[in-house]
Amino acid sequence: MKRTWRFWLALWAGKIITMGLLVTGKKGTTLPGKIANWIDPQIMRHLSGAYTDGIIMVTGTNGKTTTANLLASILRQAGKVFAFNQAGANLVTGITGALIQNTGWNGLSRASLALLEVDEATVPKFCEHVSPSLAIVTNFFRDQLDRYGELDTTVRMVKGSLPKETVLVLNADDPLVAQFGTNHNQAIYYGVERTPDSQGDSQETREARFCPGCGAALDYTLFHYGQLGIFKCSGCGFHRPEPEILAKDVHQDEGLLLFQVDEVVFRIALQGYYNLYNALAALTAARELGFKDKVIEKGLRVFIPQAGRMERFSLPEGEITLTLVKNPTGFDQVIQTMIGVDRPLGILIGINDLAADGRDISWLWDVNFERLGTHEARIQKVVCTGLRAEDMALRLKYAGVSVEKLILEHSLAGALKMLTGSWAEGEAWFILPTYTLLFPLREIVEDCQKSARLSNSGAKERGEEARA
Amino acid sequence: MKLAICHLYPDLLDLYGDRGNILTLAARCRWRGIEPVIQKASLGEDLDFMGMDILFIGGGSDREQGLLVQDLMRRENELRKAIENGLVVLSICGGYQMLGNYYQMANGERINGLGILDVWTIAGAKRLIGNVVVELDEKGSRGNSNKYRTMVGFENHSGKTYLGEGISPLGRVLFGHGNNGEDSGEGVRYLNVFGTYLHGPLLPKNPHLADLLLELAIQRRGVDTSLMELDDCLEDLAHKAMVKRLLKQA
Repeated sequence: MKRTWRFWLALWAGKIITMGLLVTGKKGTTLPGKIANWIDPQIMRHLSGAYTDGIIMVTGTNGKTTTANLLASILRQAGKVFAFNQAGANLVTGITGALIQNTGWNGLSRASLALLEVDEATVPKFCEHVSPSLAIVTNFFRDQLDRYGELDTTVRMVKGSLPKETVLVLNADDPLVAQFGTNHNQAIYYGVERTPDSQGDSQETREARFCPGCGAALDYTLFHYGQLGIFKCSGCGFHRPEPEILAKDVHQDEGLLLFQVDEVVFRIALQGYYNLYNALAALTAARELGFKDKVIEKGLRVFIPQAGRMERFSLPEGEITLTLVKNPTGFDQVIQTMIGVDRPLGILIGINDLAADGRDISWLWDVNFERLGTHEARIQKVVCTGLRAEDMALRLKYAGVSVEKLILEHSLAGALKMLTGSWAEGEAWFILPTYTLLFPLREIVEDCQKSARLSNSGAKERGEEARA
Repeated sequence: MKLAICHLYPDLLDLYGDRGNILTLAARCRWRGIEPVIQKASLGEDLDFMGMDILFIGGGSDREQGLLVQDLMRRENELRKAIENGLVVLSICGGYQMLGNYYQMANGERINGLGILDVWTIAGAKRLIGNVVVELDEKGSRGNSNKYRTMVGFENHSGKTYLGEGISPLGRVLFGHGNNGEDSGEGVRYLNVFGTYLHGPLLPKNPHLADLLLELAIQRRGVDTSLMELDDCLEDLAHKAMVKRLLKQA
């Protein structure tokens, strides 16, 4: 395609702004992308033409960022150079910005491969300009309905916009994703045989109780979590496809997640069985790209979790796990993981309702907090913070957590103090913020960790004595 | 004492934390020594409207709503009889629209509703989304037992609902859009049927409304109606925090 003066103007403007942001010490791909798209609405199409080895797209509701980062870790192990929209800049502006960063002033791309995380609502716009060679679809859950309208619409939009020639890497266990393979040229499925949490019956909030094809009820022989499991439609016979990549012998050990595919044992430094699916998605895509299991295994093993995805911190008083919460299924998984830790629990939940969090917090009532109510004896305290701290505390009251254990604290530093100020023997701490509270809370925890390290070792020992 | 609470089609209509309303009604019964009997009714299941105390109808996606209007049409007579008899109904969003006369789509085509409420809904060009504060009328209040006269929640609807003559809204919108974004009315009450656009968990943060429903249901049974007061400290905090924040913005 011929590059016009608009293209060059857009590219250079984007690069100048990127440089400007770098000089002032800011990172950012959104602003350059926004300006470049304004100058040349075709810029994404022009830039994407350079990736002769292909463009890998990652989309779905949960696990996009983790999946993309796991795959990036594998690609780095294999010595590949690739364009990558890190840090979840997954809208048109952020993607364009990332591609601009990877393109020289002369318009030539520095890599022949691109790995792009694409927000599910952005997929139609993205695919209008870019034809991905490979698309990973992780799952579909209810997420910020106020922004996207109803889930049905999102799924239909994504399905309708994927080009016929794109190779699809699909989650076999999610009926909403598995249906993408029907009538598609090439689809590869990954799935899970069972996890220690898999059950014959489900009490959780579930999407897709009905067949996406014919509308009849879906029958399950096993639920892994949410609507993910071994399903079959009672009407048209649509069923969970046989996965080419099947995880067996799934278990957790000392903060590691282990599973076996064919004869190889894989491990990742992540907790929660939902992360198993992220690892499987990355693994399946990597195999499809022709990488050997040895490289893939190492790529997954050396992966370090990114900010706020089951990230761990050590304070003299104890260990903190920080993880983002943003929708019912994700939150249910975190609760499952906390209960699985089998220790007394101190929990800090931060709920904001700004645009990036989702303005509607109704979803808190779809989270199965009743499970915390069932394990009430293990809960030492729940500190609630954020703009919707009161709503969160109220939700927990109705879930059966006794009001005496609920603490309302609007200051973030104060909330952290309430969490770590006193503790029971062996208490495990979890901090669960929505998006706009993640980084402010993380900063405070990091500062605590730093100052604890700086203080003399004597103080640390005293701290450990106090614990023992 | 037992109260029969029916959650209509939770497997179809369960958008936006609707089950929070059932959890709230059930808990507020239990805390008072009343045993809640919850029926989660599925499509095609036998329903005894007359024997129910409270019926809850939530919102769903368009496709699912279409399925169950048909199912409800078959039962229209029995439902109407129970309502005339004083059955307490809380209908939200899609459930509210379905009880009306019709829903007129963008192309002018009309989907018939049950016609129990004299209201009708017309598809709007833009979605009305956001937090809402409503000042309740007498009809939405428990008289002297009321701690506050406001109702808070979140709306997300593209349908604009209009009320027939002689039927009045639940209250007046102080913040947000309400029934149609034009006449500042929100919701409706007809006999003991309540309709509103404040979706999902309406009752947890509006305990006075939850108690009004319980009180009406007990009254219908012909039992002494004084409800035991509960410790609503957290409920009040959550309610007042939103009223304060939103009215400051307005």
